[in-house]
Amino acid sequence: MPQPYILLDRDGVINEDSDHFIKSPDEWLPIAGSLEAIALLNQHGFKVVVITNQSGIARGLLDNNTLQAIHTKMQRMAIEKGGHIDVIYICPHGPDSGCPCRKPKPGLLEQFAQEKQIDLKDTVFIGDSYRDIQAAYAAGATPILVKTGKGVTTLAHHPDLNIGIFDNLYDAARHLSTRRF
Amino acid sequence: MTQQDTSAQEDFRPKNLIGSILLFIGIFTTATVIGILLITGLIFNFAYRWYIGRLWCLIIGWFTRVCCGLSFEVEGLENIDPKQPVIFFSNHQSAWETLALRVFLPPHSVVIKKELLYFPIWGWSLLTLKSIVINRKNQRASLKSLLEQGTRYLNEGLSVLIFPEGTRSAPGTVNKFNIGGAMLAQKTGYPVIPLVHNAGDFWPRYSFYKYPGVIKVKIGTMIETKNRKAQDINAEAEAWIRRNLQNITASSPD
Repeated sequence: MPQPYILLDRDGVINEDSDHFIKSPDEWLPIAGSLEAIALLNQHGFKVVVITNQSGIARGLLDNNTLQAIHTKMQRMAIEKGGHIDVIYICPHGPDSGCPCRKPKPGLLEQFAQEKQIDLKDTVFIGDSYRDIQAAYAAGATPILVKTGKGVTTLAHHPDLNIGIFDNLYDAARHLSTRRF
Repeated sequence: MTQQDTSAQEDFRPKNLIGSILLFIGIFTTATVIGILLITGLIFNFAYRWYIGRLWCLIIGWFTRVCCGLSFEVEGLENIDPKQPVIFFSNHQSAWETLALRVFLPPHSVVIKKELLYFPIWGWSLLTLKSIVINRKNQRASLKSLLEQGTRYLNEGLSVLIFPEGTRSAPGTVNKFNIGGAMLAQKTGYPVIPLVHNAGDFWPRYSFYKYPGVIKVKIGTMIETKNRKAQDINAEAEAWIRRNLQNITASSPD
């Protein structure tokens, strides 16, 4: 049985990624079709949850209020396309903090599973980085790779990935919303 | 265009023959039972008979999967609002779609040729499902029944399914569209939803053999028809179906 939630990474999946971090709402630009993809998933009965590393906060590049403003913009633009993001799980820590929530660790996925009383088996986590895939596996979820963001690089470094791979979030959403008889 | 070569056709291995024979037996034994249930179901309402008809199509879908290894997948179900009566335009390649569309489309009336009524019991039972019967040899009378009955059913809240090609086409191809369905849309203003499938790649016309695989179905977005000419509506639906048939046929797993 497919679970009623689809988990998404943010940068490189929903919005264009940046090596210089997304530090303001103006820098947050959706990837073509990604908001429509969220709407499509919603129409097929899936709730959409975002799971994102935001070490820019630990690095002092942006504060919580700015991150909140970025997510308000994301939510507003999703709603304009008929979609809705249910919850956003954020790891604000840096790479060296040793926290349990920064992907590739499964902390945020496990927190989500506990709060929503969800079995992560058969729950899909869509990401563009290898650490998204690692986090999915560590949590017992099913990873899907999209070729936006770092996706092409991830695929080049790990050509033998035996998982669903799609050009972008919209293609992945179309696949997930196809009914099989 | 090499689509006819890419399909899984003409694979006469014994397993395909045995599967096709089992499916044939499955269809004809259950058809009689279902036919009787439908005809006696006249004492109940249409919703009951629709449910029975759909149940049969689900059973045949199960037989097809088990006997022939043939399943199907549907993309675009979000384009259907069960509360909005529409005129579905589907391409026609196979007997498959005359059954399978009942599985996932909302209750609808199907436009059928009168020759189907010559089958005992099963054929007659089609009359219990608010089918619109047309005589392909008399186009004028057929158009009249389609417009009259189609309008009545749409106004009742029932959708209408039509195969505008009029008859089955070869795999990978779409025949020229007849104008009747588009005339119904022009007259009533109800929207058209086009849909396309590649059933003929696995369950071809005139073929006893069915082949394993996954039939792809794609449902398009609603085409508004208010204040539009039938030719215009037909051209838009036909273009969508031709374009998308190429996509699903080209991407079929081999």
